[in-house]
Amino acid sequence: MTEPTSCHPSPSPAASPPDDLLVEILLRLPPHLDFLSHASLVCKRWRRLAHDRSFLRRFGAFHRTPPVLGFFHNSPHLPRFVPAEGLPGRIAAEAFSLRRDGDDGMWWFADCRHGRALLRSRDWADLLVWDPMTGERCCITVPNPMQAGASDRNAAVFSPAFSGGGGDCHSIPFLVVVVFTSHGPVFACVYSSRTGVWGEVISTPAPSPCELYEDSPALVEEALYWLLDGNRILEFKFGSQILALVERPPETHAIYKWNIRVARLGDYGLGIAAVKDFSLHLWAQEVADNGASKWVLHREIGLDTLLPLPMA
Amino acid sequence: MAAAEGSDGGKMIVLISADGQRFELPEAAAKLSQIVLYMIEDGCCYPSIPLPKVDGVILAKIVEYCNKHAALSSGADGSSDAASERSKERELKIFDAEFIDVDVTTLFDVMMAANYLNIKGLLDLACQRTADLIKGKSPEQIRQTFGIKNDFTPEEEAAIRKENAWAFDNI
Repeated sequence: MTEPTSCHPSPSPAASPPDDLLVEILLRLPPHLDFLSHASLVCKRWRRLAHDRSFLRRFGAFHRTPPVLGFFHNSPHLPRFVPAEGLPGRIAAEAFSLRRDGDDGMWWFADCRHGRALLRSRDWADLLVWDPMTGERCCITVPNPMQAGASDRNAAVFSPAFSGGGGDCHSIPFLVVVVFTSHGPVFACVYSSRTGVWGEVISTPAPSPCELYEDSPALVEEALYWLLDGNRILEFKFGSQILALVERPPETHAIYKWNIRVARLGDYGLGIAAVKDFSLHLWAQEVADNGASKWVLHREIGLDTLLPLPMA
Repeated sequence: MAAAEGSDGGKMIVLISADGQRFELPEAAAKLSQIVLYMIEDGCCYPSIPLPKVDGVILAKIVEYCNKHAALSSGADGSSDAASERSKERELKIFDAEFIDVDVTTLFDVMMAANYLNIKGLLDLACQRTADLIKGKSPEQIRQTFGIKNDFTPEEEAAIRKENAWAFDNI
């Protein structure tokens, strides 16, 4: 009897799919690092394919939501980047090696989106865009007018072309937008990785003083939104390069103080997420019959029922 | 030779496998393969299309897949209301799940035939099924499932684990 009776079917290695099909298979693994790390230990060929930089780039694009690699924070007492469990040592080592020459030698976290992190020097003279999955780094010098004379600054990195299933091995282009306030108006300026240059500075009037929150913006369709004090939201439509102010619910600052973020709320588009006591409040814009939009408290989620919070 | 006609009056296409088996299927089903579609458009499909890289057992599976998907594709029977679309989608999903629940050798053969014939839906299905077989397994279990030889030396394997410090909690 020569028929195999093993419960493990064992096709000959010759039946294994060629590299291009094996890549298609590995792309379809769930976007958690554990799955890729196990696959990369199967044999030399799988390891070569799973570690290839263009594969990792496609893996992020295929799943639209790149795997969580860790988080950045700006606390001076801890390492800038806290890696997730299971993070490849190469990425963790690169994160720890992100040091600048000069002044405090530190990069400060500004934003992350579409698989890239945006870091800045303390004085905002330099920006660094880092793609942890591919190791790609891009240093950008910020033009002088955006450094001198600006009182508050914030920035975002994003890829307008970011979409799933892309088979492109080349770098997906990205944009960096820096917004800043200076004695009244709010300004914005966009850097394009495709051209390697900054565009025109655009502005919109704002009541003075106008403080820009430090938190990352929300990306909703073709626009980015940052919180401003004075019950306003700064809107930047990157397609049409229009900067404008949007009203937010007038009572939000009094209720939530700084525990508030702009957010994208599924079908509702632009929203506000804020925490009061042990509740997450989600505000959305509703359009009335006359076409005017108004803010409504759309949902309250009791966090104490979801998270094991220590009750004092 | 004149184009063959099926019972419903539609054109029929004949595919010949590597081992000489004949498969007759409606043109709409055959066109799910981009390669066959191009041959039909170029008029190279009569009296039959030889497929020397696909053997009869696998071609029978491919024909089964194409027949089902063409029959249930939107508007094939003239109905297009949302409820019937949803019910067809459900039926296709159940069909796909049962269709691809095969041993690894057949799975790879179907995948390579779908790749050669350029049938995108079937290629996606086979790749996703293979990925589902990989996920949750240790490297050794993956090797066993797919009959892959571990070509790392023990030293290399240890070095990789140490160098990467990736999570191996469940190995």
